[in-house]
Amino acid sequence: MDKNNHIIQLIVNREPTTLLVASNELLINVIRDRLGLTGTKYGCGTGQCAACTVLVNGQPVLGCLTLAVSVDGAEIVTAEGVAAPDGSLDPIQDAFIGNAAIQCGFCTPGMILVSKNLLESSPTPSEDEIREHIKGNLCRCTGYNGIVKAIKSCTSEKKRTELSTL
Amino acid sequence: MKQYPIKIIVNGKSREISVTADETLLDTLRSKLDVFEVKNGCEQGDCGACTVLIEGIAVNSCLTLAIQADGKEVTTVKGIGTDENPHPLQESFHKYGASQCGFCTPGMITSAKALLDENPNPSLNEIKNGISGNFCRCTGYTKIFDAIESVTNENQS
Amino acid sequence: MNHKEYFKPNNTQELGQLVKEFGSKVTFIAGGTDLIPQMRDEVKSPEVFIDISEIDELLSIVEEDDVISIGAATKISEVTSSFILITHCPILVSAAEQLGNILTRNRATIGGNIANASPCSDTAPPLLTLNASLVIRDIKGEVKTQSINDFFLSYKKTALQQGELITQILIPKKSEKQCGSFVKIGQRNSAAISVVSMAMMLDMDSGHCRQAKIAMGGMAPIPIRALKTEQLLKNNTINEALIESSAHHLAQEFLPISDIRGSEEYRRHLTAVLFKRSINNSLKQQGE
Repeated sequence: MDKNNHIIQLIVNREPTTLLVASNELLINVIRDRLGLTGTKYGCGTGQCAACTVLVNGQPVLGCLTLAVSVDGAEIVTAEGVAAPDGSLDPIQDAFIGNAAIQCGFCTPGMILVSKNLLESSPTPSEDEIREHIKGNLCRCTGYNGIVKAIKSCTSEKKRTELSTL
Repeated sequence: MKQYPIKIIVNGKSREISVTADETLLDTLRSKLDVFEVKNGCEQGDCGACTVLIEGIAVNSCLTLAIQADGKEVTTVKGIGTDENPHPLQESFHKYGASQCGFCTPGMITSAKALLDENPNPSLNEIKNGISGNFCRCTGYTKIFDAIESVTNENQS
Repeated sequence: MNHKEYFKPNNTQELGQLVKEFGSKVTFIAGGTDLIPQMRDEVKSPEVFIDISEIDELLSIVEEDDVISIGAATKISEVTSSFILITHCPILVSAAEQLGNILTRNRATIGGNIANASPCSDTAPPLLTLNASLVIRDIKGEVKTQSINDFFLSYKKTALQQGELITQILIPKKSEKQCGSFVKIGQRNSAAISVVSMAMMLDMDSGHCRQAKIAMGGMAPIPIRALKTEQLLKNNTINEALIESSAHHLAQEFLPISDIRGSEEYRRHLTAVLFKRSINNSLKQQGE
C-alpha cells in the first residue's frame, strides 16, 4: 500500500462514502473539492476564523487544521447536513434567519454548527456560556448580538417559558 | 472674513455664535459649539451622519449654511433623549442591536424620530423611505428596521 | 474675495434692491443641496449669497383656470405632498419622490433643481413633457417667461444670465385625454443619480396617439426631448409593432456617454426597455 495515499471511510451528512486521500490532504479540501460540499468555507486557512468548522463525531473541528486521513471512520456533519432530510430547517437555522444573525453569511455555516453543538450539550446556556462557546467563530458583520439572540431563542429555557405562557 | 452673529437654539438651549456666510451648520455645531454627536461623514449630503432636525424637519447639516439656521430650533440626538430620560427609539436601538460601531446612530435616530413624529405607524417601506438618507455600513439595516418598528404606535399598545 | 456676504430678503422688493446693488456677484441659495457640494469641490465660490428660501412669492403652489403655478423655492418635499400637483402633474410628483433621499427633499427646491441643470435632473424630463414655462426675473427686476424647452443650452449651461432668478414654474393643466409616466433607473433605491430617466406624456384618442412628448435624463449633455421618436408616434395608432420600432428608434436617437454609472450600450438598452414600460403604463391609465 502506498504510504502517501490512504483509503478512508466517512459518513458525511448521513451518507457513507469511501475516498482515496493523500497523507497531507486537509479535511476542508476533501469536503469542498472532493465531495462538492461548499457550505463549509475556507476563511483563513490557519484555524483562527472557524469558517471551516464541521462536526466530527458530534464535536466541532477546524477543517483547515485536520488531516482527512485522521478522521477515517468518523461521522461528519457539515452545514448542508443541519436541515432535515426533507429539507425543513432546523430550529437554529430559523432562529438565525429571524434574529438578523446573518449578514454576508460567510461565518454562518460554522456558526450554526457550533451553536447546534452547544444546544445539544447544554440546552439552557446563559448568555456568557453562549458567547464563550462561539468565541472561536469570527463574524465581521453582525456584531454578534443577533447570533447570541438567535441561540438564546432556541434554548430550553425559552421554550419552557413559552410553553408556560400558553 | 466677514462674521455674522447668529443665534441657534440647540436642544432647547440658546447658543450665540459668529459665523461666516459660507460656514455650514455641521462645521459650526462641531467646531464652535462642541455638538459632537452630529457626525461628519461625507460632507456632501450622501451619508446622513450629520442629520439634525431644524424646526422638526430632518436635514443634512452639512448642506445647510449655519446662517440659515439663525433663530431656528435645532435638535440633535441628545435633544431626543438623554441617559436619564431616553427616548423609546434609543432604548429600542440598544435592545435590537441596531447600533454596532455607532457612527450612523445619531443621524439614524434623528431621522427615525422625524419619521415617527409625522407618521406614528409607518409600514416597513415607509420606514425604509424615512431613513433613506442615512447609511449604515455595519448592521445590514434589519436590526434598525426592527428597532424602529418596535416603537410604532401599533407595537407600543 | 474673502469678505463673503449673506443676505436674506423678505420679499421680491428687497431681493430686487440686493440684485441691483451686487449684480454679477450674486449667487442665489435656497436648499443649497447642489451649491454647497459645489463649494466644497471648489467648482463655485460665491461672494454674495442671497437666500431666497423664505420669500413668500416664491413659495406657493397655486391652481388657476388653465395653469398650475409653482413657486421656484418650493421644496421637493412640498412638491411630493401637494394635492394640486398629485392631481394635475402626477409625473412631476413621481420624479420628485425619487429625487435624492428624504433629507435632500426636505431642503432642495424645484427651482434649484432646474437651474442646476444636471443632465440627470429629476424634475426636468417631466417638466419638458408638460410644456412648462419658467418665469424669470432679470437683473433689472423685469419679468419674462421662457419655455423650458428653450432653457437648457448645453452641459450645465442654461439661458439664465448672471443675476437672473427663476421665480415660478408654470404648467398648463392637462386634459383628461392625456396620460403619462415617469421612470428612473439608478444604481440604488435612494440617493441615486439617474443612469437613465424617461418622462412621457401622451395625448390619446381611443388607441390613436394625437401627440407624444418624451423627455430623457442621462442620455445627453442636457435633459432633452426625443423629438424624432415623438414624430413616429404622432397621429398613429399605437400597436405592438409601433412600440417595438419606436423603442428601437429611441435607443438610437441620442449619443449617451459611458461613465461610472453606465456604458453607452447599457443606456441605449435601458432606453428601449423604459420606453416600452412607460408607454404601456401610460396607456393603462387611459384603459387603452
